[in-house]
Amino acid sequence: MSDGPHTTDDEGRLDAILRSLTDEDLRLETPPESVWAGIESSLSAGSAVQGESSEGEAIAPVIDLASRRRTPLLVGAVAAALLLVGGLAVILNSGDDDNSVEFASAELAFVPNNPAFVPLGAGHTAAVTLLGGPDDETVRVDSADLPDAPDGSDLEIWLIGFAGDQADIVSLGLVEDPSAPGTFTVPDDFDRAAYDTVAVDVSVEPNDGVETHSGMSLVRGTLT
Amino acid sequence: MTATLTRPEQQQVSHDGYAVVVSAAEIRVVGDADAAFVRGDDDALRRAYDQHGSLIFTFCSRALGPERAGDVTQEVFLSAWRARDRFDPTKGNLAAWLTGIAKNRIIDSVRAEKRHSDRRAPESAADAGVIQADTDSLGDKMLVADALRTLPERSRTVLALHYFEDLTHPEIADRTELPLGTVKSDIRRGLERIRQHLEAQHV
Repeated sequence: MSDGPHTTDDEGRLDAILRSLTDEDLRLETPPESVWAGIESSLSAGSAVQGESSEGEAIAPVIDLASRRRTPLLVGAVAAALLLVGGLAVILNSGDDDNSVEFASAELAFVPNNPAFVPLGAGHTAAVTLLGGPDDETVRVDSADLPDAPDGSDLEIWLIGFAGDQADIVSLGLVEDPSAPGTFTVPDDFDRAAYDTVAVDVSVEPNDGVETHSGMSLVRGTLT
Repeated sequence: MTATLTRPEQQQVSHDGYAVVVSAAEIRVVGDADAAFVRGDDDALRRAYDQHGSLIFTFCSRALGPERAGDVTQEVFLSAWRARDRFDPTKGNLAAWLTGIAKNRIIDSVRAEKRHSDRRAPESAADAGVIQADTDSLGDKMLVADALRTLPERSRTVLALHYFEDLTHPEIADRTELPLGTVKSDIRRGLERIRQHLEAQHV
């Protein structure tokens, strides 16, 4: 990768490749089992590689697209297969009292050795659940053990949507009590279907009038 | 311990109304598959193979035929594993990096075959150029198709309608009942994602 970004930065070229894709280009062939066996045996002489060929857990994108037309194929079979890989499609539980559905949950924790995190978050945690109601979605903080905000700052809770190397971030509000449960409404214009993964983040925000994320996260967790 | 409340240096750009605070490479929770590969985690090679084995095998099979595809696929994963400290997950994804390695291996294999079958005629610069261009172009197509598979479903649908069915943005909005602005931003963002998916293939 020493050459850096390459020529497909050219928009016209990417456009041309997309238009030129055929069914054959979209089809994946499954390598015979002997291929992995060969890799494993080559390595066993040197440094061992562990991990079994566990068919059940494998998430190889093995999809026979041969007999389908392209568009239904892309929106159908591939989409279904990809749901296995990630996303928030799993409905974990159905709520009853308040007509809400638990879509996903996350355990928030400090991430060491990551420049986006400040040491104040070390050792702290929180547990959250994403709920879908009839009108809007909410993030419920089920339990929290967060540090007190330093003087001149607040704790703020955010949703971060990851799509490839891009991240969108939206504020859910200020955390009033660092150890109390609470509920936060997800803004209507945050469409989690547009992201591969969505994380909940708590940051410390200096009271400096800047509304964007400070870049100083305390804890974070991916909704699954 | 006193937290110093100074905002770190970072890029803040507006993206669809939200501020993008830092790049996902920095912000992403550690422990994803690409980082595990670089660290040499126990089952990281198997996971990489589960995720990208079909892509690499298909690329090799299209370029070299099914008989040689298996061997070259093995070489690609073995050399990637041995050179894993040269892969930088912050600069691109593993699929692109593996595809870059596969391009080189495929070109080597085509040349070796040519030398073997045509011993007397040394390879001309033009031949070499054609082999390189064909392999690059096929690899890019494979990666674009791979990127499409990794897009969120709605983006994938919108891109497919635009590029495969040649629908205009308003036609897609009609068909999908999405707001026109959403269609446009899905296409723009989808293309950006694909472009990023193609990065880091040079090894």
